[in-house]
Amino acid sequence: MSDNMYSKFLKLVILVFLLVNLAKAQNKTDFFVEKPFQVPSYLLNNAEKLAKNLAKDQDVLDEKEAEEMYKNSFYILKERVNTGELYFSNELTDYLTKIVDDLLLNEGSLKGKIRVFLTRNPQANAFCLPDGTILVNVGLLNILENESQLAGILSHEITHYKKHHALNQRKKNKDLKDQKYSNTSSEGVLFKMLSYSRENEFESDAGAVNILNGGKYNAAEYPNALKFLMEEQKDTLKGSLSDFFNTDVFTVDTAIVSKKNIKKELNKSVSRSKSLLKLGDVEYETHPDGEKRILAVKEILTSIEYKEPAKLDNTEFANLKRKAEFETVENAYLEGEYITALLLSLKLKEKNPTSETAEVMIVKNLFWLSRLKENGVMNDFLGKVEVNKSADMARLKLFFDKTKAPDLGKFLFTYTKKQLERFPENESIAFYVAAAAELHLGKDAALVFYKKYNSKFPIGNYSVYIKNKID
Amino acid sequence: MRIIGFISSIICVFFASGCGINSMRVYTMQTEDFGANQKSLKKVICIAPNFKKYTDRDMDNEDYLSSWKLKDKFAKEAESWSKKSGFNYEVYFPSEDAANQQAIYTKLLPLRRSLLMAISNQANSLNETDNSMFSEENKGVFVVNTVLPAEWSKLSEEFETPYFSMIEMYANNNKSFFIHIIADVVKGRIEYQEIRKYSGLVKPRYIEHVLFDSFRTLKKNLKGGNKK
Repeated sequence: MSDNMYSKFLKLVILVFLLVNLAKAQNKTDFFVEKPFQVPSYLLNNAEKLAKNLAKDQDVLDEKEAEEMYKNSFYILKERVNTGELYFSNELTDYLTKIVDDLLLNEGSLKGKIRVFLTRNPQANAFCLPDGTILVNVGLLNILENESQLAGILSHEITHYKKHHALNQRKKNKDLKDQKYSNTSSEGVLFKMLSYSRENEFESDAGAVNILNGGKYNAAEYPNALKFLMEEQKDTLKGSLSDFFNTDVFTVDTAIVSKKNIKKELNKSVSRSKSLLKLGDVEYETHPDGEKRILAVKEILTSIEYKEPAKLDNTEFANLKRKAEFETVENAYLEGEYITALLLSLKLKEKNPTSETAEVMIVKNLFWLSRLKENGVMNDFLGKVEVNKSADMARLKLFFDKTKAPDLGKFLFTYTKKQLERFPENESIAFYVAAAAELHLGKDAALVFYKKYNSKFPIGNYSVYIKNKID
Repeated sequence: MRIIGFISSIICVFFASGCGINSMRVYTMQTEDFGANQKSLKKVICIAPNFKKYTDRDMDNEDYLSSWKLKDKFAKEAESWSKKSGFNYEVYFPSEDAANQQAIYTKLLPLRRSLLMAISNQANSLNETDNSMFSEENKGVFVVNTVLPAEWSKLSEEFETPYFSMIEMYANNNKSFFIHIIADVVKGRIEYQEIRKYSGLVKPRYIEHVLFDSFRTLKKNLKGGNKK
């Protein structure tokens, strides 16, 4: 081999090495890393003592009642700690804390009283406990577009604490329950309680604008955040299912997921018991109608002649949002919400067509859905799946409902095998090919694939399981 | 006199029946080759035993104050009754112990979520209607195995056992459930599952009775299990 050829070969080897490592590094940065792991001491403190101190500092409820309420709030939080629902010591928790600190720059009395934690819940939501602890679901990051929108939601939650909404509501509810208004029916009492809750939401929206006004975050983005919350299950899947799933087995956009069937699925709604007071569905809600809230915030912004601040750099938010998207899918998968997780992972694939992690997520969720079908529990499972006005969800639900178990098994096996051809070095996909073979073709055929995995990844994540299978 | 004696004995039996735990049903399921004897379960890692007390009939609103007070007692009793029954259950409970935090929060609690998921997607007896008010025991094998993600199999190396367990009690005034699960992460499936249903609230003073009964049932089922 000449020197020239040798140097070309060496360059090629280095290039391949760099590309492989780049792909691996990209997969690692798709998720939040929690190291060094440490539960904040505040969450391990004596709840009884903390509740007593907080009860002394408020004047809305009598001390004993407030103490009970704070205790309950701490135990709700502790329960979440104990079930592993919270993230600790990761970059997003730090990021949320930084935004809250910025928002409290002009709120001296609140400094040190508000703490913010990230939960693993895939639903887009955030809420504030009576003691000032704000919990932000990782799914919220999944739907927002920039830091100002996140700051808007956090300001809303801060206002709940600032205005003592939880304590006030408890006082009002207690008055109602104590029959101070004895002529009111029990349904009337419930509606009244819910109306207090809706009033609080309007007040917190106004308070959020107040906190954001004059700061670095753009209050005009807050109505957009509310809009995204309203449309949590946005139909953002651009392609059809056959774009993703078209294998040589069958095309999925056939009669089973026809437009007519999707419409039928979307029209299935939960019927409520009729109200004696002849009030509409909105009277059952704790939150006001989203459109009204957006309109109210926009009116406030116009009335105060709000001037938008300079545009913020969105790089950090975009980077963390990407991680939150992967975390949301992983958490939906761990929660057993396989249809939601599959839909979100298809969306991830649309955004990141070359992402191995997104493909692993698709394969994992497809496998478990096929498993449920094979075990004959798919009907029970689908009964619990909420479509939430999303045509994408309806499409997937129909697909798994109508496709027969052997067809689904065959589809899973061929689809997974195709992905292994795309990502031959991915051990998760290699494992799921073997698992799909076991589901579809039986144990003996699967052994071939298990042995292949074992020779390629002798100390892989699935090696203990596979060695047991082979033995 | 005889009649008086007869009536008073009936009254005694009537009141005595009210002193114990209410009527219950026990459903156990196990894989056909689950350990042939007690020794096969050398070590079991029990993840965060949990007692949940609810305020309403539908188990929607948890009474966090009462639940929290009982969690510690429940976990300690579970460990103690496992030992007294001849098993070696190591209870891992989320705590201030910094050395264990990493393992508990990043490995064991996610596995526990996975166990809960596995049984929620399984056709089990939790949703069956009870017609009988008398105690009854039903024992069977899993016709379709309840599988777990194979990712957890690596935990067997770290904890030096393939067996991981979950013990939970859900109690309200209407009915209470007790669940005891043993999973084999190397085989990636639930090996043993016991569900106890009580017709009323299981009061704190009955916790040890329930746990004693549960481990006794496990012992009985192991001895009667099929040989490997």
